[in-house]
Order: sequence, then C-alpha cells, then structure tokens
Amino acid sequence: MTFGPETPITNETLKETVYRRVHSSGLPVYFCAKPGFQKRYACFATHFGSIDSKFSRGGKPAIEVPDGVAHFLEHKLFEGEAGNAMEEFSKRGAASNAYTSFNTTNYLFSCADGFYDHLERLIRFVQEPFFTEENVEKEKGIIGQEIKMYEDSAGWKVYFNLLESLYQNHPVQKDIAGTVESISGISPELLYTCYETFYHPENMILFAIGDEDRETYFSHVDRVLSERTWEPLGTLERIFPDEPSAVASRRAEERMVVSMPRILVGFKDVHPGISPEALLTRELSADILLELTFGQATDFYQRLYEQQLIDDGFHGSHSALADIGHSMIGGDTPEPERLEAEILKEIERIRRDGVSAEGFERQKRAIMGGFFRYFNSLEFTANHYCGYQFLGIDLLGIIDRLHSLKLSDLNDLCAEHLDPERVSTSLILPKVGALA
Amino acid sequence: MGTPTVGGAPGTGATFVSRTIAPGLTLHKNTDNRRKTNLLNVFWVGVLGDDVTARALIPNCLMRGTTRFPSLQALTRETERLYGVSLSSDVRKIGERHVLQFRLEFVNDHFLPGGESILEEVITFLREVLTQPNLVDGAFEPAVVEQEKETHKRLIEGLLNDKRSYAVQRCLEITCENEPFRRHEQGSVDDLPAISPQSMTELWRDAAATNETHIYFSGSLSLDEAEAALTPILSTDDRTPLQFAPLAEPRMPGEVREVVERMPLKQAKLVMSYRTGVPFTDARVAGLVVGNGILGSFPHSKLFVNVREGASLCYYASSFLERTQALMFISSGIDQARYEEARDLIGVQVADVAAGKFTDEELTATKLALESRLLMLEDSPSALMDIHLAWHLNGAPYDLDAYRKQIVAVTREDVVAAFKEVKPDVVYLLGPDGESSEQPSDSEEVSS
Repeated sequence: MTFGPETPITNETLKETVYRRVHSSGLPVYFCAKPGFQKRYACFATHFGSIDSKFSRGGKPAIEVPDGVAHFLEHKLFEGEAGNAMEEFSKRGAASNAYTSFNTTNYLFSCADGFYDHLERLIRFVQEPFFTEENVEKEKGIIGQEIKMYEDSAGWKVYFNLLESLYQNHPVQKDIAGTVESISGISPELLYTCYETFYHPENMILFAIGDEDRETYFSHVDRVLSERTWEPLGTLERIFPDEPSAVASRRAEERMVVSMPRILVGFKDVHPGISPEALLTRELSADILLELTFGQATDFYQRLYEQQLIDDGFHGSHSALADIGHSMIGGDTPEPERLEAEILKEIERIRRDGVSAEGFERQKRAIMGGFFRYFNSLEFTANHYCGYQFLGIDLLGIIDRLHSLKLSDLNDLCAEHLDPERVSTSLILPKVGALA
Repeated sequence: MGTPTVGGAPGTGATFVSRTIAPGLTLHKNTDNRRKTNLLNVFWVGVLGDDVTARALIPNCLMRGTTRFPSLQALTRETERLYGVSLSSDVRKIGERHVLQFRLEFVNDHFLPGGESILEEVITFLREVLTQPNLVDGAFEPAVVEQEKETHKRLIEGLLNDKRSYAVQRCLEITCENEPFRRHEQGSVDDLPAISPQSMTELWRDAAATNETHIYFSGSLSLDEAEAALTPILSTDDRTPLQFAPLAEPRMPGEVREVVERMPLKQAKLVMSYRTGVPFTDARVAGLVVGNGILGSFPHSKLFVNVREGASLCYYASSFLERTQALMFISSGIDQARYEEARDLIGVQVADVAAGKFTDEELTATKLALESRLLMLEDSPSALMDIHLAWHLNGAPYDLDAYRKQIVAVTREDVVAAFKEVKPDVVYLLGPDGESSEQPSDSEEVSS
C-alpha cells in the first residue's frame, strides 16, 4: 500500500500551502505545516451528516435511516471494545472531540506532544466500530439528555423551526441529533450499515496541521492505513427528495423561557446540480450582500439600533449545501412584528436600488482581513478545509475568488435569491410566568 | 521611562517584555512572528464596587463613535476599510477587580497587498476610540447613553437565556452573597436609572486617568518600536493611579445551603460550590489545580467517567476553580428525577479526591493533560495576555515555565494537602417546574 503523487496547493496571498496525497485505500490525506506552533491538530472527517438519511450503495435498493443516526454513530464510535477513545486521548495529554453537521462527521484531536501516537489512535478508533445492543441502548439515554438541552436553547429552536418552515421535504430541516422518538429505532445493525457505507476511505478525509515533518507524517499514515485492505467503495448515491422552491410555511412560533422575543427571517434557495464554482460565488455574494444590507455599517442597522429594535446580536448570514441554501436575518427584539416588516422593507429597497460599488469594495477588504484572522487558527484551517472539500471547493482558493467577484454577481443573486415569495419567519416568544 | 522587566520562559512565544511608561500605565509586548495578525489589548483595571454597572457601560458608549467617526456606522466603516480590523470590548472581573478590555486584531502589514501599511492608522483609530469620543457639550450624547442603558438592561436580562451559565451565576451569587464578588461583571438592572450622560462622561474620564492600565501588544515589533507606536494611545500626564485594597483572604463556609429554583425547562441544572481555603499565590495551588483536574476538567476525570458515563446521571458534569476567590464549582445538567442521586455521587467524587482515592494513572494523565494545555496556550497571545494580567493582579509572578514544572511535580500527597480544607458551601438546583407555564416562579431554601 502506498500513496499516489503529491499535489501541493498554495495560496500566495495567505502564504499557506497544503499538501495532498491519495492513499491506495482511496483516502485523500492532507498536511499543512505550521512552524513554531506548539499545538498539533488533526481531523478525520467523513462526508456523512444529518441530511444523508436515504442512500443506495452499489446499485442496491435504497435504504432510509432514522433522523439523528449520523450523530448517534459519532457518539458510539468513541466507545471501542477496549474503552472510551476520548478518555484514552485525555490520559495521554491530548484533547479529542467530534461534531456532526448537516453533511459531515468530523473526529479530531489537538496535542502538544506525542503527535504520532495520537494520530494513530485517531485513525484506529474511527476505523474500529464496536456496536452492541447494550452500548447502543445506553447511548439513547445520554443522547436523549443532549436533545433536551438543545430544546432549552432559544438559538437552536428559532433556527430549526425556521428550517422546518422553509423546507417541505429536504432533511436539512431535521434536528441533527434527531428526536427521542427517532433515535429509539436505532440498532447496532443499522449503525453498521451506515458505517460500512460512509466510513469508507474514499468517502473520508484525513487532515493534519502543525509543526511536524511532512515525510514522517505521510509514512506514519501509510503504515496505519496499510494494516488492512479495502474493496473499492463503488457507487454511493445520496437520495434527496425533490424540494420545491416554495416554502413549507410562512411562519413558526414557539414559547420558551427567554427574556425577549427572538426572530429569524429566512430566504430559501434551491439549486440542484449547481457546480462547486457557482456554489462558492453564491455563498460569497450572499455573505457580502447580507452585510451590505443588514450589517453594522448600514443605514438600516444604525437606524434600528438607535430605535432599540435590534442589538449587536442582530445579523444576517448565508449557508449552503450542495443542492440547497438559505439566508437568515434576525436577532433579539422587543417588537418582532415591526422588525420583520423593517427587514422585508429593506429587502425590497436593496432589490430596487442594488448595492453600492463603494460598499462592495470596502466589504471585500473586510472579508479579506477576516480570512487572515481565521488562518491563525489550526482548527479553522483543518475543519473548514474538510468541510469545503465535501462541497468540491478548495478553502485556500476562496480568497482569490473573493478578489475576482463582481458587483453584478451580488445584484444577480439579490434578484434571484432574496425573493419575497420564498420567505419564512420563525419566532420565539417569552413564556408567561417564567422566572426573571 | 523605567527599565524593561522580563517574565516568562525565554525563547518562547510566552514571553512578555514590560515597561512602565507612566504611573499606573504599563506596556507589555510579546513577539510572535507565526501569526498573520497583530493583537492589541488595552485593559483598564478598577474596583469591583458599587459603580460596576456604569463602568460596564463605558466601552459601549466609547464604541458609539469618535470625533472623526461620529457614529457606530462611521466607526464600523473605518474598521472595514482597515481590512476588517476587529474592534471589540469586554468587561470581566478578576477577583474583586473590575476590568474593561478594548481589543484590536488587525492584519500584519506583511500580508497586505501592494506594500500597504495599516499599523499606524489602526493605533490612531484605537486612541481616538479611547480618548476622543463623540461628545456633545462636553458629555456623551443623551440619546446614546439612554440607548446603551436599554441595551445593557436587555443584556443582563438575557443572561437567563443560557441556562447552563445562568445556573452557575445564581450559585455564585448565593455563595458570595456578602462579598464584592457576588456582583456580576455587567452589574445590575437596578443601577441603570441613576446613570446620566454627565455621570457616564465623568466615569470615563476618571477611569482613563486613575485605572491601572495595561497595554498588551503581540506582533513583530521591537519593544522600542512598540513603545513609540503605542505610548500615544493614552495620555501619560496627570495620571493618579488608584490604590487597591489588599487582596481578600480566602473565606470559609458555614452550614451547607441547599437552594432550589424553578422555571419551565427540559433539563435540570445542578451547580455546587466549594471553598478551597487556598489563596492564589499559595504553594498548594499546583496540588489544587491537579486535584480539580482529576475531579472534573477532562474526559478521564471522575465526574465524566463515574457520574456521566458510569451512572449515566447527567449530560455534562465538570468542575472549575475560581482561584482568585479560593472557590471551586461543579456544574452539571441532570435529569430532575435523579437529583439526590447525582448530588450525592458528585459529593463522593470530591471526597475521593480529598482522600487521595485515585489511581496513579488518574494522577499522571491529569498532569500530562494540564502540561499539554499549558504548552498549547503559548500559541494564543490572547490567552497569554489574560493569564499575565490575572497573575499580576493577584500578586503572582508570571512564569509559565516554572508553573508548568510545579504541575508536573505534583504528588498524591500534594493533592490531598491542597484538598484538605475544601468544603461544600452551596448546592443549587435549577429545576423544571413541571411544564406548567402558569405557575409563578418560586424559590425555596432548604438547609441540610
């Protein structure tokens, strides 16, 4: 077993290089050197998240799995036959963790010493599933508590209630952890089925970053990966339901223990079959567009802040997956209906007037500066590199795409995406009689 | 003015070179060529006293505009133009001191296209924010002050939204009810009505002239360059530094107090406070820190392994020290029905650490994890500045290397000696009210 040829990926502006080699098991392996840093960080990510609820492998009949299975698998993988992997990292001075998003499950660790020991542990524990009736049942209690904790979080609820309103069929609207009911149907067999499909090296990425020698790194990785052989993954089809461009409902409301109402207004974007390049253009354009419409430097923000309709938590953000995307605008406010009307009015205005060239150039500078800040972080570099790879986008190239972005990209997106016909509003209102 | 003093291990990013540039005004510089940005922090240190609420509003008023950029909007546009310089403020308490922080992170000129330089502009910008606010008739604009008071009221009321930290805060307030430390760093809603534009303006001038001020810079400037560039941030004339009261002695608890509060919640929060009896600069600190690690800082710690994983009693359970006040807290999310069981099992974990009932492996693993955490801190100038300041304010010499060696040398006996006086103080439960939204809130106190 061995690696294919090395591909260096360099960005001159950021002065960063990432090296890529594909292992004969099919795993793409990456390395980024960070001279002088004490911390070493590595992550092992699979292109499997909460939205991958229906799939077919090797042309076999499609399988549908309960909501929350990717997150459940993430929890369970830490528990090996010989003990808890997180505890093993911890006992040897490393900190490990994992997270599940819509399209990714990522296992990671950071350490100062013993990097290769920890790296081997990371690769091994992710490649050694151990699911039993007993440990799966026990996990249901632990995840049930986690789900309850999310249910008490206004930020989480307002967000998922909005996704439910925006989407009619797409699994992005399902809570990443699932529900107590949905996870009750999870069995060891089901976990093994998902594992064997999505934890194949061809569907994963290994990324390490820190002050280590590149050759030593690749040869260690090769040795551990070569301990077993893999059949090719074959075809893996992710099946998503047709998602109409119309929203599922205009409004969602819920009462919780909060000090003030919270509102989130969302715009829906459905773009199946879009190219990664076009997806990136959309994402960058949407970020700048929202900043130029609702950001702290706008007349809108200044006026509403002075009227106390918003506070500094108010913001707009865009997020995209391969086939869908959405923009969300909102925050805490004493008068949610009035703020909603103001947001929609401002959308109308920006659709009519377009964005200013001066603002556009200023925003490009601001976002560029942000990139330098983010790239100080080993975790940011590694996690986002993997996340963007699963969308077919190279993280290092984003700053150049930003540079070449045109004002017309923004105005085109504005006309198409911020469509008043495809908007939903999610509201959290204070529960009567709550402790204040 | 003054001679440089050096603290920290030489040759690592953890070193600060310090120079006093005026009475109560010190510059600290750290050299870091690894990062793509520079970091500049200004700290104003005052007393955690009756004016804490108004003090917490100072940064908010200053961030509303300067003479040159007279609105939040104009100010923000300038930060965007300067390649997204990140300007933020924070208030915190370090023991019984109240600290205002102004933080600027900006791209190192080295990375900017076409040989552009923003260093000087950024420093001028910060000076203007701190010393040339947009005053009207010599005072902050009344509308601005009223808006910031209202925003602040919402912020304080909004602390309720994060149940986990809200429960910790309630436990702390009850634990320290007769101490300055009971005060939240953001102050209290009750103080807001009395605050006027005039009183805010006076308080800002007073803070600038009297607060112990620390300017921290991390980047690639030499000390002389940094001094030349950064000294103009604040006036060095007419400074009359505050005299602080001596640091408080550790306090010890009386009877254990058990307090239950209710609100409509899905998951109950259990927070327990302990008095450690170990002052900040005490030789037993290393043993205390290691003992706390064995108890609840890591995934191999007792709270995680025995309470969360073993007994499945909670979703999270961890312990942390408030070293300035000789306090330890345990915070957990539990199923209300198993409250007593969780409380008692947590109590057993603390008792086991105090009695030395832990394996050699638990001790070694904890020391290794702490050592690793300390080493990785060297990558974060921001975290190093926080530690440097906290240690300084608590009279401890800043020497991370020596501290790390003390941690590594800790024995079982050291942990037992450090935990000898650890005593429970408050057991606080924030529990669900049975899904009834009509019930008024109630608070019950049960002694045990």
